[in-house]
Amino acid sequence: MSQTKIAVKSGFSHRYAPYIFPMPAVIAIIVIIAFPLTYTVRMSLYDWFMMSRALPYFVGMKNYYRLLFEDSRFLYTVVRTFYFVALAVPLQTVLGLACALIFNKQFLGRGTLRVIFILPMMATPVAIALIWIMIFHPMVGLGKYVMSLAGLSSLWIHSPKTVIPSLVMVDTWQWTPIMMLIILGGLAALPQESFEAALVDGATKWQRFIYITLPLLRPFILVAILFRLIDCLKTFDIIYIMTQGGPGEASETINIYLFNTAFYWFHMGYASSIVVIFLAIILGFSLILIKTRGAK
Amino acid sequence: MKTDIKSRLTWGIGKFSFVLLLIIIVMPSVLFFYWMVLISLREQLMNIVYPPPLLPIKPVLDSYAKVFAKSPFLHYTLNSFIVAGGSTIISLIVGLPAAYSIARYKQNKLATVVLVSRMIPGLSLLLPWFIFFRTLNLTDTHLALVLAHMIVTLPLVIWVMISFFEGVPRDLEDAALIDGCSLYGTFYRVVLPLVKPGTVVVSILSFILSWNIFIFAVVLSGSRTRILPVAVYNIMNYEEIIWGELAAAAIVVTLPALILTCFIAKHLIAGLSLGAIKG
Amino acid sequence: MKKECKKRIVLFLVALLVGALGAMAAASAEEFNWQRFAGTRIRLVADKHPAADAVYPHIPEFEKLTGIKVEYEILPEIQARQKKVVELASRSATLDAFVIAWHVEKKGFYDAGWITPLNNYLKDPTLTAPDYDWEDFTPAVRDISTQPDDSVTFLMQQIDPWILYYRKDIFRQRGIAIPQTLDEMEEIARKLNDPANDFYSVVYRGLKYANTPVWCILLFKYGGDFFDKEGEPAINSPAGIKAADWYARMLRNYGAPGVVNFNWYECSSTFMAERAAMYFDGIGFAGQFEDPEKSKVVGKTGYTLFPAGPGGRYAGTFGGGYSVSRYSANKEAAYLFITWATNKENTLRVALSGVGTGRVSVLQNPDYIRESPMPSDWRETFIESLKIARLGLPEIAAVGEFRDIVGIALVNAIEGGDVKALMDEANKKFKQLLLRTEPERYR
Repeated sequence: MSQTKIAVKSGFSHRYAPYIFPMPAVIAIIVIIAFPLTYTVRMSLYDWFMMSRALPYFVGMKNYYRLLFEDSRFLYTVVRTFYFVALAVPLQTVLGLACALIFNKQFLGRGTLRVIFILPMMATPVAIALIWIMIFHPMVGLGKYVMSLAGLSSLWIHSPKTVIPSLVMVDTWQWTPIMMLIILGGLAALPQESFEAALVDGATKWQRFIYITLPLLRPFILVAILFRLIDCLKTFDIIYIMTQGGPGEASETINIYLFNTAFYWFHMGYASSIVVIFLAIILGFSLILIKTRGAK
Repeated sequence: MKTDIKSRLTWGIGKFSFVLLLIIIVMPSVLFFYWMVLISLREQLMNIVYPPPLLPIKPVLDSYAKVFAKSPFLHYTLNSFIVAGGSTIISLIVGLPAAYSIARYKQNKLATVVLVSRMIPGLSLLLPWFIFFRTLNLTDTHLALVLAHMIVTLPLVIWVMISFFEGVPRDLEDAALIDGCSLYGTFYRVVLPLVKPGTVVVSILSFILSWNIFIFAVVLSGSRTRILPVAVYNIMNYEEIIWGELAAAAIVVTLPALILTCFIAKHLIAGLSLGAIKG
Repeated sequence: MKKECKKRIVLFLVALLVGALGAMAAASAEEFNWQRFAGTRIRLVADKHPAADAVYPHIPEFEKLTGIKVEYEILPEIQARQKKVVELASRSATLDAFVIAWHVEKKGFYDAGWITPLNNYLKDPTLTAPDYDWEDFTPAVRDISTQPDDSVTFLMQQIDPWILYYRKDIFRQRGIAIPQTLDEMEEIARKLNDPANDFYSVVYRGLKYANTPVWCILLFKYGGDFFDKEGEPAINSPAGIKAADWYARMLRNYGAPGVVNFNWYECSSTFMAERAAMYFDGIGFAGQFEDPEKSKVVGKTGYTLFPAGPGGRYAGTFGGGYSVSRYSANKEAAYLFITWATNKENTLRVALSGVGTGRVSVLQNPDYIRESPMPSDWRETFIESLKIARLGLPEIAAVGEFRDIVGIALVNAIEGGDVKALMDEANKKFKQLLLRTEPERYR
């Protein structure tokens, strides 16, 4: 009698287990993400200048119209963001792949060197940005000195022409390790048989790399690229701390413009519409990511 | 004989260039942190000399003493620990069952939701959060920051743990179920201990990421709950830029993250890459 | 007869009233009741500033005197603004008083209805201690603290006119006189510039947003203003263009490299590292130049008014003061605190930390003149500046965005852009900004 009761009970809870297990996480995601997001979408239909007596008032799609068709400054931030990503991601992919191949070899001190190599990505962004500011100081910075040793001069983040490449350099320094780690994980998972077969065929090292390693690594590299792509689009801390989008507007990315619009100029409705467009861009890339994973 | 020398020579060159490559790839990291420490050990006037001296001259610890004397850095450190620890623990409590469920019942839609939450820029949620916390009277509380930081830690925990749960053999679970354990008992007593190594790695990782977050607290924290990254950023914005103290403060902030990294570095490859690839 | 009687009654009433008031004043003079709000807690958000560093360690004295508990939060200016705006816009009752950076926030905060006018409090002898003496602030300072509708918006904490710092050792050695006009200054800059040795004639802010005040002051000196007679934006007037041209030309030809990203701290560190001959910025930054632990120019720095332009001589002025929130639940207790923070004793403390203050009694105080860490030419320059002080930014709601618009035009001008085209564009954006944020101007 009591046994059947237990069986019924556990049957009941079994049936609903797929809902009960993830329930807390789903609630958490709704509270901390979905709810605020909905609020933002609604706010994007309002004009709300926080520094005035006027209360938010409904303007429909006006914010979007202005953002997409009248605000050339915003369009430049989009171009700039893509420029940043287009420089950073390929560079980090090549470097990450190279470093992964090196760290895949067995050698003395590999563990220690690998830790040193990944430290930048684990360090607190505020802390490293501060030190980079000092390195890039145009009068007494180490960066100036190093360039002068090579007979060159560069203003790094202090010139509109070099500011984005300089920021890409910092981003690459910081994030190549994650690229390396993911690809290294892929290398560890490669099936050994295909290599042995290739060895028997007398393939050279280079041929083995091109025709066997690379195709096998492809899914790993792709996912690493797409993860980096998304995170690059979202880059904020480093740019905000080092240049605040300057000189002029030269390093103003979507994220920086968004932050300025909301928390410097207090146009909350307009800022919300930037959020929505920004999200659309990022979700677009995320969809590609998910599609690629599905197609593997 | 001749070929032997030649092959040994190529071997030597190969070895040498490999070591050279290794040096090249770890150099940026080594030099950077060396420079960071060096600046923190110098007197202020030495930091505005050009060309910058590359070796330590008369190193002093004054900057560190001043950082702790000038502002309640210990208090900020404690806040950082509470927020990073809190967001990690709640993310584990909430995230582990979800990850298990996604792995066991192949809930791909849910996995997609988690992935999308990972993609959302936290910045875009800052304003509604503030208003939300304001109405609930939660501004300048640790809870507000903990919840905000969970936007980063929760998807991370779920995402990385899915692959660990997938590695748990179903036989063991079934055996436990037949022994009369409830499904939830099995999860708690059988499955969780099996993924303990993964849980440890993901906790530390989540702690570090939460520790490093900066922008949320700029808007959401007040004097009571100020965390280290904000405190350091504030030093930079104050009346004068004193490089030694700034560098010292930067080291204080980032040291816990770096030390923890050393503990989990070995496992990061497995954890991160599996988390990124599978699921 | 009847009329006479009425007159007498009125007179009697007046006498009674005056007598009563007099008695009240006498009573409060004998014993001003500081303890009226004992047990209250107030919360304050303040900008990080040496003035705050000078006063806040003494807050326990205030707490003992009044029994009011003061909780305060000090933040860098921009973050403090974020905090204040977000809290005030959500009508937070837990923010009682705050420091406003009045060069940016005076109009915006008042128009948004966030500030309690202080006129009635200042008149109320039960709330304002008899020795507070509002009239002790110089007329210019009282004028800055007041809105066009006569509402007193804040009590002055510090006032920061912009002056010219120069290397007096170099000027003396080369036999160069202090520049009196912008042309003379440019001529000196041409002589002193020595990029081969990493030494530059001028440094001032180039970073967008931070750089706008420099241009505003130059605009005044060229005889321009932000609006024309009809109230239309006019920053692309001939004066505005000349100001932008001079601003950009000087930095391009004689400025330190990388100056487009310089805020005051890069500027002052460049000056303190002996790499610039002249530096133009707020007078409050001078304290660090005379600190041998941070500066190589101790005793080598001269202080003077910024040269005049064809339109005259003005000292663009910036600063901070204390306001009481409209939404505060403890307005009177908060007011008690802000009068304490700006009373004679605390103003002296602020002045002694090397910051400009607005009280006549302090500026003439022999203790101050004797103990001030700053050289005599600093003090003279400050007093002279107060006479020609002029609010250094337009009194509009969206000052931050205005600074951004002009700031970007200036950066592009330094980089060699066409100044007229840039200022035309900036003026267009300025107009759009006004239409968006202050539509009532155009109704």
